[in-house]
Amino acid sequence: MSCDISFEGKVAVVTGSAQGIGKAIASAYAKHGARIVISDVQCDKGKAVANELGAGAFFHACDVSKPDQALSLVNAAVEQFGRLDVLVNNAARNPAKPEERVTVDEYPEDIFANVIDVDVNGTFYCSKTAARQMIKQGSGSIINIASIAGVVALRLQIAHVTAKAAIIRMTEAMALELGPRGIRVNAISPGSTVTEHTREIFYGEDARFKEFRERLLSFVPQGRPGEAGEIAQAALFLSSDLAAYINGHNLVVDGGWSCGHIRDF
Amino acid sequence: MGKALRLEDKVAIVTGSGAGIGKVIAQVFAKEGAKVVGASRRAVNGQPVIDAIVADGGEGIFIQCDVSVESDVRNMIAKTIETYGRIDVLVNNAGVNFMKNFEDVEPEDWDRVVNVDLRGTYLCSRYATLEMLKMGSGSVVNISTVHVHACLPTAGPYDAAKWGIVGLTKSLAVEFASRNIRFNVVSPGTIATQILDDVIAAAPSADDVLNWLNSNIPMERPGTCEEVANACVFLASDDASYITGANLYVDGGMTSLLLSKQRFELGALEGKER
Ligand SMILES: NC(=O)c1ccc[n+]([C@@H]2O[C@H](COP(=O)([O-])OP(=O)(O)OC[C@H]3O[C@@H](n4cnc5c(N)ncnc54)[C@H](O)[C@@H]3O)[C@@H](O)[C@H]2O)c1
Ligand SMILES: NC(=O)c1ccc[n+]([C@@H]2O[C@H](COP(=O)([O-])OP(=O)(O)OC[C@H]3O[C@@H](n4cnc5c(N)ncnc54)[C@H](O)[C@@H]3O)[C@@H](O)[C@H]2O)c1
Repeated sequence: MSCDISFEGKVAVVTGSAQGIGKAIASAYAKHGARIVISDVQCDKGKAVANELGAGAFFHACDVSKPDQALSLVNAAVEQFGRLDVLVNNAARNPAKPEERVTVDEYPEDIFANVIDVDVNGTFYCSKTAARQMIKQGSGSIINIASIAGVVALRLQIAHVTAKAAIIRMTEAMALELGPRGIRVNAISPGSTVTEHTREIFYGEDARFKEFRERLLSFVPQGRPGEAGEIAQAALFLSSDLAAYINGHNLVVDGGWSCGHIRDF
Repeated sequence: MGKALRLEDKVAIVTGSGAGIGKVIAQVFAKEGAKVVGASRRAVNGQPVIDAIVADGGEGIFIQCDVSVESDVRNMIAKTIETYGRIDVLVNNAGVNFMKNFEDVEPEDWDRVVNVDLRGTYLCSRYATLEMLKMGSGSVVNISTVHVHACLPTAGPYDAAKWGIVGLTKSLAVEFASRNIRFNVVSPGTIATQILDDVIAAAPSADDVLNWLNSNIPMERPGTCEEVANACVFLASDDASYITGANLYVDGGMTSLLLSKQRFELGALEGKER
């Protein structure tokens, strides 16, 4: 077996890829030879990413929480490139405004519903239509971006925690159903990761949660946040032939955060 | 990544490299550019594996080592340093399988299994880590099993040792993260090795036993040693730079499955209200 990761001749769709982790994942696939569909609700940013990636990439607007748009996304990929090898369900609504970081007794119903809609329903809608194409091909790989918050509960993020836990279980259920048909389904749970979005609230100089950041990183054994590129490497690995027997797994990429406690007692 | 070798110039110790999964890990690591130190109990098995790697243009040495014996482990580490001057990667793969009714498990059985599977992992990790600390980097991959997700009857000592490996790994991940040494686990499911061949050969019907095994695996086949080795390459390499304390299942979906598909389809629920 060759150990090169090449996506030459393969087609990948990454949802929510106008920025952040999704953009890093899409760029990594493109760099390794895949043709790629960038999709997001942010059209200008998404188009700019597709332009950056060149001829093998195009942008298709898609709100993953709308089943018809999820369908149209997969159709666009197949129409343009003839097949679909990799779907990365990365799009998510990450509530971070102060009024969105509250305990359950205060948590707004509409935000809760919206997070479930984008993260959970969106993953289902996109996976469903992608699975239909992949079943026809007899091959494919689906990667769901969950979160460490779906592995261990965090405070003040009840919608996020609920959605990501659901995604991890959904991954396993899909792995059972699609495994016999040649499709592997896995999840990646990033720990705290540096992106435009987390730079704004956490990791920038004037970040709102600077103090919180110091506290958070004091719990991360590697003492630093992950880079979006490090999440992308995990996605490349899981969707490649190197991971041909890995199915239904949730790969935690968190610098050791979820495996223990590093502060002195 | 791309066409670049993923373990270029890394010095990697693979224990239990004389047979089965460990042999293939050694081969795949060599192809990925690693200088492989193959360590195994018996030279008759271990030496030819390394000879073949070298004949193939790869680099490596064989060191006889019983991982449960401290002096052997110290000797293995010393010889590695003598030859290559460093240790970048350690794969604790050596292990003994074990199945016996618990009523019949003698203290000697317990000691043998726990000494190789758990104490061996401790000893190799300890002495390799001392060298990795001098260099300020390293990656350790410990081979456990899907039994750390859900256990089988009659595998008590094996399961206890393999769960121990996960605990040890996570604890070391936390302890050494700030010193740039990563510790992770690979947990294989059913893998096509000699052991599986023996199980199949011993069964009244090879087809029946394979069907039954596959019905417990969503991907409906055993994994290959290469597939386990590739997971080890990934975790050992810099591609996994933010992954520590993780347990990567290479099991075709087995641990996502609660009930065997075959049993279910055979109509176990027939006649019951649904
Ligand atoms: N950054 C982190 O620390 C971190 C940690 C754990 C998990 N994650 C997960 O990684 C993924 C990417 O996160 P990120 O940090 O890059 O976040 P981000 O907010 O920067 O990116 C998310 C992208 O999804 C898009 N999006 C939002 N709603 C959408 C919808 N309905 N349809 C299509 N696209 C939509 C956004 O426009 C944005 O481009 C998310 O699933 C997130 O939950 C991130
Ligand atoms: N084969 C599977 O299906 C499977 C499934 C899950 C986990 N595993 C694990 O994978 C690892 C390799 O298993 P395998 O199937 O290749 O087994 P194997 O028995 O074929 O190979 C094990 C190797 O370890 C060596 N070894 C045993 N005791 C040793 C000791 N004290 N010191 C040094 N070397 C020693 C053996 O000589 C042999 O070369 C083991 O840790 C096993 O528990 C295997």
